[in-house]
Amino acid sequence: MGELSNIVIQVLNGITFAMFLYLIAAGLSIVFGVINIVNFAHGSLYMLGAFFAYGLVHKLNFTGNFFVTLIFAPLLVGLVGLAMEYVLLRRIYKAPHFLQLLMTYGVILVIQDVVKYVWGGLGEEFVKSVPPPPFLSKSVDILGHPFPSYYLFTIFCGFSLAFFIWWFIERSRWGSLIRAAASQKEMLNALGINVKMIYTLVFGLGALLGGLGGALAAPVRAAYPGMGVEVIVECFIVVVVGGLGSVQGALAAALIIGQLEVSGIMFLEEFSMVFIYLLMVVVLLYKPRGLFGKKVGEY
Amino acid sequence: MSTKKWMTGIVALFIVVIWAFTPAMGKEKPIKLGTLFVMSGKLGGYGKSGWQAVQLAIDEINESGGILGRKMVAFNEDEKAKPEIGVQIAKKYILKKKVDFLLGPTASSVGLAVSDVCRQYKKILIVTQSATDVLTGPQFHPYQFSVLSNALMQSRAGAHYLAPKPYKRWMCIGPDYSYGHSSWETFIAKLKELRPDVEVLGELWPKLMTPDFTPFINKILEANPDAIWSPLWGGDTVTFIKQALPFGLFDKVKFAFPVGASMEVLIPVGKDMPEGIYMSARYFFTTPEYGRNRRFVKAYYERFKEYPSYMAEESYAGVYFLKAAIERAGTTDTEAIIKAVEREPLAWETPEGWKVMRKEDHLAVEDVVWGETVYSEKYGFAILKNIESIQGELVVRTEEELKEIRASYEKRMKGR
Repeated sequence: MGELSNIVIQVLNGITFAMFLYLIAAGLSIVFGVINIVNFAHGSLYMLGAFFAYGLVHKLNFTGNFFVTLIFAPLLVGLVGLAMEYVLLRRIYKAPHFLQLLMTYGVILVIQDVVKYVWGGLGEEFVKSVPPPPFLSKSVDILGHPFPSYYLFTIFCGFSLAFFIWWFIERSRWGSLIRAAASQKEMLNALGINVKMIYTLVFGLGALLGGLGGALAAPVRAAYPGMGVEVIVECFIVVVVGGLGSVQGALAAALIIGQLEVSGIMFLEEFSMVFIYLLMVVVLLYKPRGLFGKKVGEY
Repeated sequence: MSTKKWMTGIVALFIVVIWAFTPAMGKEKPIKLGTLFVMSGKLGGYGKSGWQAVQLAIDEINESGGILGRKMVAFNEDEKAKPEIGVQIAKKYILKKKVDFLLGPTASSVGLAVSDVCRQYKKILIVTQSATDVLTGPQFHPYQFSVLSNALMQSRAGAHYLAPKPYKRWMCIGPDYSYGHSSWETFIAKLKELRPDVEVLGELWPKLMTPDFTPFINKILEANPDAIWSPLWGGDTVTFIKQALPFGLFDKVKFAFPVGASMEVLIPVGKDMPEGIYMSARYFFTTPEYGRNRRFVKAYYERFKEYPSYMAEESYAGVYFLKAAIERAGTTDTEAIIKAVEREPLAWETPEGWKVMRKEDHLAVEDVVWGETVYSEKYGFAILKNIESIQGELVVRTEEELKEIRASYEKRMKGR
């Protein structure tokens, strides 16, 4: 019994971990799938989400309602994303990939310094802590083990969003336009639809998802400069394993990697990092397009 | 009539004397100090504190007449926690800017690299932030003076502080790099020596800056030890505490954080800090309660609008050590200063009390402070209560260890 309940808790831990990964990776994946841009700065947008959440809670006195923060912080990051696409990225869609990498890398540095300038300020608290809402700050009992209720909330948010994103892309009219923009750009243009605008909006949506990941992670992981760079590598692994551009793939990959990470630490701590890279190697060898990968241009 | 003449004469003499001395102070070349700290990234707060404290100390010294009548100036550069950058800056300071002394390194790796440069060029380095005890141990050389309580002292002091307490079954969770491992090894070795019935249930080594500690927290809950030694620091401590709170971990297991009581941890954790966690710091601004410390905290707070962290205080103390050493030697000449300090231990006053620079390993002997966390309404973050000072003499290297260090230095130098 003790053993079984341990495993249940562990699986739940893994899922929680996976939800954060998924929320960040989903935005990265959508942007790549539709616009065909590898956005290195996605981690910085995640960081911005966390800092906006901090700012809204502490500076603007949104203290009363955590959920308001959870909606507004990602929206603000979405706006940053829109601006980033409109001002910078749309000028280099035709440029070689490494130029896009350079530009998004530049954006990382800029965002990093802006965050330091705005929130670093006086006092050396570079780590900003965001309190979870009071009713989610305790834990619930699961098979005799304490499990933070905020983690359950995270799991709920993650799966609801996964479902919503799937519905939005596969079932809604906007989704079909987005899919068309990825594969039938010329046709869409000919039909009089503003593809450029769709690109901008998709990028904004990707940024919004990254920001949401950040805002949701802030009460657990706190907000600090550099948090974006830490997650971006794992998110790239999720996107590669799941298949570039596939949102469902990102979910599956995040869930697998979440479990690997957690059980790796539980059983073979010294090698926990290895498993994830091993998984990536195996996937790249046998399914180079990733678990749910499609050919480029076939969204 | 004659009294008036006398008076005029005395006043004239006075003016001449003042005239003769004041411009002399201005004419003499200033003493140049080159500092290196980490100014950017997650550790940037450490460098910011250090550089602020150096500026404060230098302004105070200059206002009260300088050192040997000479003013002091300082330059600062960001060592970025990268040894090769630290070496570059140190060489630039020595060769181009012709500094008289170097001070700082935040990162231990940079401390070791810069210290070696100073040995080669025979310039004195005042170590105020790097905590590795390798500097004053296996890599000892006379061209450096360490004014802080290093990792070895923190760990041994922790063992002395915790041995009388009723915890037998221990675990460790620390960052997976040299500091984390050596902190634990020194601690547990000393603890076993003081209390042979200690058991070790396991060690956990999350990588530095792990975003998610949950699996480790579960492992601790499963092992259920009495107490945990945790050399996690900075942002890692913040995330760990926040993530462990909902699991009720701190109600079940006693924690000891050897570098926990830093502003970088206490302020962000704020009200959430559980009461009664054992924490230590190289210096804590509320203690000791005496004039020198109160003046320092007040001046620092008024100028920078924040309370001084230990990184600030140790760097401030470093500048004052330099002043004391130069004044004893009567010159800024490197060899003369080393000779003067090695003649007999040099005591100088710092906010945390009098420190004594030992001649053998050039390490300041000072007490290490341990205490328990308690939230303070006044400050808006947790401070330490029931503070205990563990005597410096108990935790620094013993005489035998010192002899070994000096002997190994002589041997290394002969080999060159």
